Amino acid sequence: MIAAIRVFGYSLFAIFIGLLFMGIGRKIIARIQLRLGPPFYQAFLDVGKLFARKSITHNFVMDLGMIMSLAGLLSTMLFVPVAGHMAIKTSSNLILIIYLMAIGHLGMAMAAAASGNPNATIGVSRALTMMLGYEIPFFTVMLGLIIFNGTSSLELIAQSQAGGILNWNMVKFPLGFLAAEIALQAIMGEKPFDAMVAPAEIASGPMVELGGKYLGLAFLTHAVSIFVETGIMVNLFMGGASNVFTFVLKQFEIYLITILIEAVFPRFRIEQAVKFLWTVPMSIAVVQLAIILL
Amino acid sequence: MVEILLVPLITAFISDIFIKNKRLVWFLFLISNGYILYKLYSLYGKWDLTYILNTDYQIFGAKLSLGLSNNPLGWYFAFFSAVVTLVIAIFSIGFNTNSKGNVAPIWMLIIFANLGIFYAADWITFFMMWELMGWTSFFAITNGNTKALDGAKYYLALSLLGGSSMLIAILLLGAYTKTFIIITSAYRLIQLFNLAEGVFTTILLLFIMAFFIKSAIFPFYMWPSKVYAVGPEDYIAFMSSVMIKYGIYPMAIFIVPVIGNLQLPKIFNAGNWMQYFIGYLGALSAVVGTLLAMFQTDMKKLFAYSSVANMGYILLGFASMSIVGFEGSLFHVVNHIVLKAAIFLSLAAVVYRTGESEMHKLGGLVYKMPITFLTFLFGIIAAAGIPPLNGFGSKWMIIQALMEKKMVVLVISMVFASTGAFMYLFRALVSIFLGQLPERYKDVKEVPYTMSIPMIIMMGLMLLIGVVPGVVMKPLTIALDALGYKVDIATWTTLSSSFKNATIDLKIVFYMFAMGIVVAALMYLFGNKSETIPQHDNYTAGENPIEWGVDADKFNYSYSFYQPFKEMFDPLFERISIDRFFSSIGKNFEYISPTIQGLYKRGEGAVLLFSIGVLLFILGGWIL
Repeated sequence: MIAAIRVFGYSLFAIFIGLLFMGIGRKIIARIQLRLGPPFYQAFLDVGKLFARKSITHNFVMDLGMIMSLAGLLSTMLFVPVAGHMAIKTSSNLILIIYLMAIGHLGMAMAAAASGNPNATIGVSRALTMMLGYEIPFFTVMLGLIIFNGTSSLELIAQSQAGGILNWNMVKFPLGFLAAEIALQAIMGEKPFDAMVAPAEIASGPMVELGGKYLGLAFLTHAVSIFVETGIMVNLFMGGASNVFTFVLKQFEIYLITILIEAVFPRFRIEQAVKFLWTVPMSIAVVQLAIILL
Repeated sequence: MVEILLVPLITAFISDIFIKNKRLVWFLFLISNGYILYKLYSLYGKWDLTYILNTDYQIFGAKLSLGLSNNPLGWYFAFFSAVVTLVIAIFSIGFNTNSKGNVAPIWMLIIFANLGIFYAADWITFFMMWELMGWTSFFAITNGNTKALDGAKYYLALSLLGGSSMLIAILLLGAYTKTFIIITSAYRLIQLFNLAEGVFTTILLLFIMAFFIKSAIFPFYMWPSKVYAVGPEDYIAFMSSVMIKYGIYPMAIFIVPVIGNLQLPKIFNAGNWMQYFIGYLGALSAVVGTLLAMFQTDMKKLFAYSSVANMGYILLGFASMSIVGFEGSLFHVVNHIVLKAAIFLSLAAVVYRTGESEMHKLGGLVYKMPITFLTFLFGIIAAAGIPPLNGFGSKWMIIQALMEKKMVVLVISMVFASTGAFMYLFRALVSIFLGQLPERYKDVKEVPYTMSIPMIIMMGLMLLIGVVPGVVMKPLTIALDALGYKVDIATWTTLSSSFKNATIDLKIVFYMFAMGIVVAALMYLFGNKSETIPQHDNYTAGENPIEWGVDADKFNYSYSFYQPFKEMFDPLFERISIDRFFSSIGKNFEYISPTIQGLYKRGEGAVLLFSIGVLLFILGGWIL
């Protein structure tokens, strides 16, 4: 029972932080582009409004897919240690986290494809191609850290960096951090790697047929994915944190970098994006891996 | 012990006599498979059962005997293939009510060969069963269908190549180790390796070639796509799940222990060259299989290449030469048997109802065939290695083993292949089941109960093995323990590797996922009501196309799904093609064969050939 309450609390916390980040991110982008921008709590208002609206669906697969995508990301979130705390004590295995995250993507893709709109399917095809693009450099960086630490537990990797900023993997392995940052940009689907959404070409891709609470669930999924992805980065490179407040602050730093890049870049075509990810961050990651191995 | 082989043999003969009576034949097929499963279950734990038929003959000083033994690993392979075969047998009853040919007798003969391969105690029995399996599967694939002949011939030619290389290897092994018993020859090979390094390396490579051909590893990866596309679908489900493992089993009992124990120089402190040879071929199959699977338009070809990629994962686990990798590979064998059978059963159901296997001509079948869709969905989630279904555990173990051995290139290609797997698996899901239903399939119905129940059983199996891997890992570790490996007997739900703090509890993963579902469903219920409307209401912005004098077109984005991505790889595939290499060999043979034919048709040619034969005979005697 207590475990269920903890899981519920962690889920709400992740959703809250993710939505807060999304709101602040929109504000920052607006200020960079010399606009006033929405208030920082806009994402909450959006979600509230979307859930209050009546919505349309085409078939049960769409409903199932949306639930599956949020469920997949929430369960992934439960494996990411937040400042050393976890909802249920278990080994936070990195490979498990990476694979579990995929179920969220699969659910989202299923819902989008079930909506029957070709734009959505094109978006899904791009998103999956992008996934192959970023997974390789990101995994190569993780592989270096795993071999260096002799463990594939995210918690132990975070603990091994205790004791000051100089012990952080970010400082010890700057090349790896750089490669992971570039890959993270693609993982989060921000510019220049947002070919799967591309509002001007394919009308927001997977989201094109979603409305009402389905779009609301997509918002929540995105919020949780921001939490998970920045959380993994903080644990991998910034030494985790001693308390939740510092952890969230560090997550925000990672998110801020992403947002700043997002605000000023145009968009890669999908094959350009994959080529870029397989050349620039991949070669940086390979150099880092070679340094660790030798 | 022997009755387990006699029953399928007798069933094959009886069903051959009553071949016209389909109902009876398929019922016999089911009963016989049920008996085999029961018998295998009762053989569990009795590892010292043997049945040897001695002869007085000797070849190269090695005693010739035919024998069966209840080898723990052979039992492991045989038992889990029997489970899946039984499920497919139930499916076949429904599937074959209207089929033209009747594949049951020959299939029963293949099951006989199947058990023979897994239970053979010596190489001679093994080879006999291997050859029996080779030519019987040729007839099972063609099954009276002339269109299937090309693919089946390709398969037969490769089988013959593999068979002959294996025969040479067996004879050389017999000549040098003076025994044909599999286990004994492995021990002697390890002891004597340094005396004749060249010969033993050749033996190993010849064996490896034969096994790789049967399991479609890299240079021989073409046959599944040619064969699966044309064979009868229910038999293909058996072939793609069970038969492709015939190369893996002898790798596990012979090649891997031998290479693991040879004292060869190590490269980068990680492994010897043979280990890397196996590993790199496995990695190539995984990567090439994945890439080719992405660009197929025929769903059966797509999953044929996916099998190639999965065989690659298994080899990668072997290449790590650590106990975690070895267990992971053998675990993946069973996982792949289960998930590939599930996928092919659902594809068979689709073909049964629509008669179509080109993916872009299908679409939207989920509204008509929900159980088939769910089976397929479970299958692809398992094949993508996503927890909580069964493909995850074994992939996790293989990746852990490779990371631990610091084989970075191999592990990166493994991750490339399994991420690429999402691409082709999802593409199949979208094109076949999602999107808009074409007009011509609007009367398609769900398959009958005889076919949907086996699919539901397969879903249950995938979930069971995914959440409680102990149902497979316990027998596996007990079998490995009986063979003398130093293993810990697995627990029901946890998997572990030798990394620090690297034990995962799949039960907890399942609970977490279930809780995620609960939270997400609560969010879903928390939102306002939703209304189900036909796709066109939204798609055409509320307008009725008929009123505008146009037809309501249906668009599915499913042909050349990954076009931009494919264009990246086009130059590579244009330059390098193993298929073209093989067909050029074939063409050369075609040029040569009329000449040779001409030789022995005319009298003088026959004389010439005869004298060459005699000369070779004499020379051979002189050399030996």
